[in-house]
Amino acid sequence: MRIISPPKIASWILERMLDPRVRYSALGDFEEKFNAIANQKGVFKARIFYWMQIFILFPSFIRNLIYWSGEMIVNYLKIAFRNMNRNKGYSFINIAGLAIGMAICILILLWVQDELNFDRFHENAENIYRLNMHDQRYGVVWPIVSIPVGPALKQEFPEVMDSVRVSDFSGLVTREEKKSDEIGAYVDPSFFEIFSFPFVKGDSKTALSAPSSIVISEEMAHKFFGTGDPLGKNLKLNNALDFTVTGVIKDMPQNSHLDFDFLLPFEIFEQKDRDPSNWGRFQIYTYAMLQDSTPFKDFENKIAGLLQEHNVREGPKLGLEPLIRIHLYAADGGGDMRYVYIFSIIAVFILVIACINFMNLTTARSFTRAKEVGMRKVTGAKRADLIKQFMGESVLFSFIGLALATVLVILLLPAFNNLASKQLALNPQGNWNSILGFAAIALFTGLLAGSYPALFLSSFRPTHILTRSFFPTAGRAKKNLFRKALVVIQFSISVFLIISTFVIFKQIHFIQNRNLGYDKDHILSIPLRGAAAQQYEAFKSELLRDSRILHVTATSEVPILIYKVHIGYDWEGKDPSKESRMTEVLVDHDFIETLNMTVIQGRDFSKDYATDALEAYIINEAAVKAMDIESPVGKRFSTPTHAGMREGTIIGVVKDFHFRPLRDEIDPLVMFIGPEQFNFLCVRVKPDTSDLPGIIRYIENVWQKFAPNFPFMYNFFDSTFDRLYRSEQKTGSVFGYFTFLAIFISCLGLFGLAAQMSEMRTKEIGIRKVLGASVSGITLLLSKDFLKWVVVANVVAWPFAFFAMNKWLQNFAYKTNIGIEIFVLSGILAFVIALITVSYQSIKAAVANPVDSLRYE
Amino acid sequence: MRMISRLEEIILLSIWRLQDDAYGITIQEEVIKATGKAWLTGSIYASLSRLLKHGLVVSIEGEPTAERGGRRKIYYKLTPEGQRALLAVKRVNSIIWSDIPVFEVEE
Repeated sequence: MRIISPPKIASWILERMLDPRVRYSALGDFEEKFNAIANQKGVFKARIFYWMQIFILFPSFIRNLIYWSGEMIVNYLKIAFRNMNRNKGYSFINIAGLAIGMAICILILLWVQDELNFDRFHENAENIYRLNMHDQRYGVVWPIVSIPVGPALKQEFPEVMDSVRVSDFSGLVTREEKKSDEIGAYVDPSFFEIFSFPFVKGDSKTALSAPSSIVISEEMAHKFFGTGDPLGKNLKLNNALDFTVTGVIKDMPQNSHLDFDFLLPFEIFEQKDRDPSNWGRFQIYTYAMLQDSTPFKDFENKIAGLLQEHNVREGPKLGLEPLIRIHLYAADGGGDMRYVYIFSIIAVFILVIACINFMNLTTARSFTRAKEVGMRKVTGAKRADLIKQFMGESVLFSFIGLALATVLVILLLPAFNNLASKQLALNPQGNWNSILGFAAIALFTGLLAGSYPALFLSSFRPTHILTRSFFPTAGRAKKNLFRKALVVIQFSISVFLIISTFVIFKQIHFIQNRNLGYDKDHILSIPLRGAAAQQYEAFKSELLRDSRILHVTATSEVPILIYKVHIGYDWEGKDPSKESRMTEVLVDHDFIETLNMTVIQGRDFSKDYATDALEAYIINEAAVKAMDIESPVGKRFSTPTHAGMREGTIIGVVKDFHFRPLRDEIDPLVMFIGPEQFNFLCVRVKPDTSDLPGIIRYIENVWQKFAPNFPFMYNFFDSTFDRLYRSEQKTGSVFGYFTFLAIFISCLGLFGLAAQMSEMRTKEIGIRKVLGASVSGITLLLSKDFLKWVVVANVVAWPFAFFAMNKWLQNFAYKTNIGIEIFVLSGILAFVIALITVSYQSIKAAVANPVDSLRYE
Repeated sequence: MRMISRLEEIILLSIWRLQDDAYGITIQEEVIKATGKAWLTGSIYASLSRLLKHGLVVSIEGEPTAERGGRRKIYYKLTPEGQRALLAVKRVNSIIWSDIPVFEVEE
């Protein structure tokens, strides 16, 4: 009888499919039968028989597979929970670290999602673009165009489905006794076709067709009409015009860059304008909705020269900004893509710290699982099975962490919203994306955190573990370079964050305490309106009657934020080829005196010279530099106005003062007297007055006499000033909190590691003590290792932090220096925190009675 | 004591009949011969595992042979429990088959 062997591939497959308990005898049976068939009916038939067995076995194979993996999962879970239960402290540290890390990640994810979804709620969001003009001479982009551009686009270009012009303003809305200031806009009726702002009442098609119609937000409807029906009722604007409510829209959402409380027909704006057909007067926003899938870059090139075609001399280029990019990329968007990146990176950092914690603690405690690994291997577990088991365990931990993190997020959201001025919410219903996102975070965390422990634990050799020679020793743990590296990474990130926080706060401090060139304390600014503006002089003298009020002056802009930039100035000795770009502000005679500025050349404005009101100019040092002239005082100077050039003379030079946030350099500035544009009143009060509310009440009473129809509003300069740096303040505080949490998580891990270390070295410490070691000596011995790592972490973190913060400071024209003291301070801080964390365990181990540690067996 | 199934009864009887030559293939052949149906190797092994677990049979490793690709045969033998289980089934059978009216069915 000839013996042949069955197909190799088939037996390989069969071997893996068969139940291990009968694997070899059944395989033998199949081969015996194969031989029998081969001898009787031929090899071919035998082969068919053999291959058939695979298909026959398939159903039971699947059944077994599910049964056994189910059985093993139950076992894995049981062991995991038993271990968790046995080491409650470590499990808590592990899970808490992961939970805090994930909670921060989720918060940042919500924030990032909100930032990225800005303006995306419009149905046509992808096809809407805002027009802007590129002023090539100065390389600036302004998101405003002239009135005729919008309608012309729609008529001349088939790609444009619709366009809308928007001009925003704030006005006083009144109805009978109720009055309040609201932000509104003049818009074309197509506004509601292009943007998705749903109507609660009224018809979106006809709402703005009549010139006296007004569409209001739900909030405003509630304010003025309570629960009543606002449709058809009247509202008065700026105590002058009456409008009839024709529609109520849902409040514009918080993640919309358009945010108005009421809308008026654009017609009114057009009629009010003195030259609406002028293509060269840039003053309004215009949005265009393009046909689906119009290549917008091509279209942008097509319209670029539109202004020149309509005879705008030296006309700027027209351009397009996609609606969905406005918030994060446009200069006026309010958001900043850089912060999206920065915070995403921080989220990853903190998650990494939490994962490192988990890795370190799990591997440090690996000897408690060593016997289990040995047993599993002896009873047939393969390394892959063990890796699966430990990975699964860490994923289980991270999902428990996720559940805790969700609770944390719910608790922290109100505070976080407050900090970030957002209205973020965890809304699980219908938001599958974010649920999947969170699950993905947990899975990623679990796999990352479990990767190293799984590889480490599964590498144990059963022969080592199960013989008595396997004992975890300090030496073995010390040798573990990988774990040291992990601790270093963890603390490097913490030190990096500490340094960043210090630098941010130092910069904020620097800004707030910089000499601005004027005195910002004890000054109120009051917007001038109605008769208070028309009878300014009377109003002023009435105010000055109170001895607590030292000075009263008026300006066209709040001195902290002067943005009126013009071109076309002329002066004696001007280089005709050079463009003259300057900031101007119109002031009253006593402006410089009121704000305590210093005149360094020439003289201040004075009522003694009658000509000052008509032709005097005072410029700042930056202007002198930009004008490139010697001894400016007495030189001829002229500014462009609606009525032609205003000719005059420079009478003085004022010391540079910061009239914009310190992000910007001080620009050339020119001041002159112009009562027709007094928009704000500046009132300096006595610095030593204790009765500030009394003064404000007094001013309000005077206000009521002059302008009873307008609400009295005031701001203190210094609080307005603080608001300018709120985004830096916020970044600083957010950084502060994140840093604190990062350090906290790192310390949790360090605490666990230290506990582990001293536990492993119990015997060593006992013997050392018996031989006469002191408590301080042992404490030092135990702490030394960890502290060495923290020092290394500092060295690693410093260059990164220096580079990153240097980059951040580039945003500011006036910046603090980073300074070595920040690094030293951060280093000491990290060191002390680590020392406190570790020394608790070290001291505990050092003072323990050696009798207890040496007594067992 | 648990009542064994029909297949288990047949397998136990086959093992008893085969005496020293009861292993996978021979048992399967016996079962197929007795029932006239094509039982799969898997079903036979499943029952054998169950019988092993309940202690009605024991398994003995044989010598490796070339025709099995160098693998050992696993021989099965009845334990006293197995024999007792068979007798119990036999007793039940004889009781329930006695004193019943004659019936005729075409096979």
